[in-house]
Amino acid sequence: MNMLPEQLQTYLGPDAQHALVIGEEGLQFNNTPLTVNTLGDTTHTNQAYFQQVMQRTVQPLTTYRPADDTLVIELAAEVVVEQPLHVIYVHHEAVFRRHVLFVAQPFSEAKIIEHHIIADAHQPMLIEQTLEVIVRDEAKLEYASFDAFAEMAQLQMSRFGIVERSATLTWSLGSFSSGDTQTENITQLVGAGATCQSTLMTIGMGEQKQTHLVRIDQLAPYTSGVITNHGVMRERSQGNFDGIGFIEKGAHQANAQQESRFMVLDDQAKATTNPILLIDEYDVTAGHAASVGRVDEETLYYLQSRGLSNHEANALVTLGFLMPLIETVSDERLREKLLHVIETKVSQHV
Amino acid sequence: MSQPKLEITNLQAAVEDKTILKGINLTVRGGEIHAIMGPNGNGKSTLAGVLMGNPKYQVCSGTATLDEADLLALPVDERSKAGMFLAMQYPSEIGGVTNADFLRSAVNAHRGEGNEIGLFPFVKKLNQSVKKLEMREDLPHRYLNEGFSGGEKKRNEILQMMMLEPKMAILDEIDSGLDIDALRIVGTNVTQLVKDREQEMGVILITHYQRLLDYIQPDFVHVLIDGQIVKTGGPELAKRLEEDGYDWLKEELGLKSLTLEADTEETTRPANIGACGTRQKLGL
Repeated sequence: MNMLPEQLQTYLGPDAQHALVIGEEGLQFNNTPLTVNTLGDTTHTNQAYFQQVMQRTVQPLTTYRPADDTLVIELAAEVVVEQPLHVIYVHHEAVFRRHVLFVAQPFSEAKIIEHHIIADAHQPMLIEQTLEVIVRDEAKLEYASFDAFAEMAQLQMSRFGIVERSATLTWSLGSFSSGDTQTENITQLVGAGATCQSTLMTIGMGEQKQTHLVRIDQLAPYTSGVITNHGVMRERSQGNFDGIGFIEKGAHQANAQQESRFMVLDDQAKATTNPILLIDEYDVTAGHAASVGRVDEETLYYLQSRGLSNHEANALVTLGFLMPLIETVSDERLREKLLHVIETKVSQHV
Repeated sequence: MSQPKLEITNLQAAVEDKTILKGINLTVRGGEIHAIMGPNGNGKSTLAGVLMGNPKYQVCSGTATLDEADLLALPVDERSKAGMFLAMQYPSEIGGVTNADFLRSAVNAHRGEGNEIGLFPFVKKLNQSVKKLEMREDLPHRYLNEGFSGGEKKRNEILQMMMLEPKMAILDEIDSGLDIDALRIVGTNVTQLVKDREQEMGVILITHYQRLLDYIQPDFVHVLIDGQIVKTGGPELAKRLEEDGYDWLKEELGLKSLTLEADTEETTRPANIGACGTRQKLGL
């Protein structure tokens, strides 16, 4: 077995086995079952297929064009990987624009964990990332990405998913950066029986503005799309969730569910949610729940009566609010890391 | 080992501008168990809430001190750290927060920074307490009170008391919603805890029923009617109340019952000149 370079191993933990590093000096692999090409290098058949898929996805945030240097990361057909696959982006430049195409070929299964490492946290930065994930027939893919950049970094994340017949795509997304953040996450269920579950959690602080759009288009019968968004807004931060569930005519027996909730901790923090269901078919099930609320007075009193300060009580309730989403993350080490990030964030004093 | 002392003098308090407590005087020392009984709506739970600092109540006058601590001047969490504990009648349910995490945070808040409890001593103590209270073994991993039955919630309050080791514990109707087995478990544990801690913890039991007192023998029984302690006695007073109700006592003391008072309370309704008056004014 190839060992990871020491630094990476420390970062990822002693159990990490597979890693792909995308940085200044190109690509590094460590014992990964993935193959990486630029779009220009892939076969003509593949190119034609990818081009066709990419035309489906829309990009209101970024105006990228698929180019020859678009990275194509592939998980070969029928490859089942138990251990998480780490994909690590190392950012050196002030402006980062990258277009990545991730393909899980038929019958493959894997958990991807995306990491971002910034070389210089004090330098102003713009990170624009466009990711397209294609999950082909019967494949199962979990894609987890949590960012926690400092205030100097401005983020624009655009993620697209295409899910084919009887395939499953699970998004676990967390937005814990301190700078202004705008994300969109659009998934199209194009094959019968395709499933997408998207969870997104976020904490807003300071003067930060965050807006997140999550959309699942159900274009085939027997598809299921479930969106869960939980956000906590502190201080003077502003947050917005747009949740859109779309069911195309003819997508019978489709199921679309969404839940968007914000907890607002301080008087000057603001939050809005826009749950939208667009349904053009009769034979479906659909539901949505949305709320923007404060921590209940009685709850705070209860916790304080056990010796927790107002701040500690708020932190505990915040953690509890995000916990159901943290629990959907299947990798234990990632879950712990996430808990640590959230704990640090909620225990910061105003 | 010191014996704590809770001293309440002439305590008056209101909720939404309605005076509920009309001058409470009470002294409770470590090692003592005081039962406070009385009909509903006479201020028993208000007394508990005021001592703990529930923001719902406004203190009008009087003092409450626990040893040197001026309770009424402290925020809720500082009262807890000073040694007060209130087992609540309706404990909050908090999703996503496990009992273990919550208890550890609470215990550490009491111990202060740099003096946090080790994981093993904590788990050991928690497991022992869970066992004593005959609670489900997975309790530490369950979310705080979420999906708990009424009896489980009450036992969980006692569990918190065992973990936090307060100087003065108020148990607000800990017996309501308990079946007879749970009543026995709660009762014997509270009694045992007071005994084990010798003179370091005092208890105020707020209850309607004598049946809890079969398991927790009080040293003093106080009757709270219309915001005042109108009679104090020993356990025999509780028995008499159970058998004969409160009417004999009210008669003896020449009190009208509060419910009666509420009924006869004068309701002055402003005369409604609304529509007529307006019409006249407008010459319609």
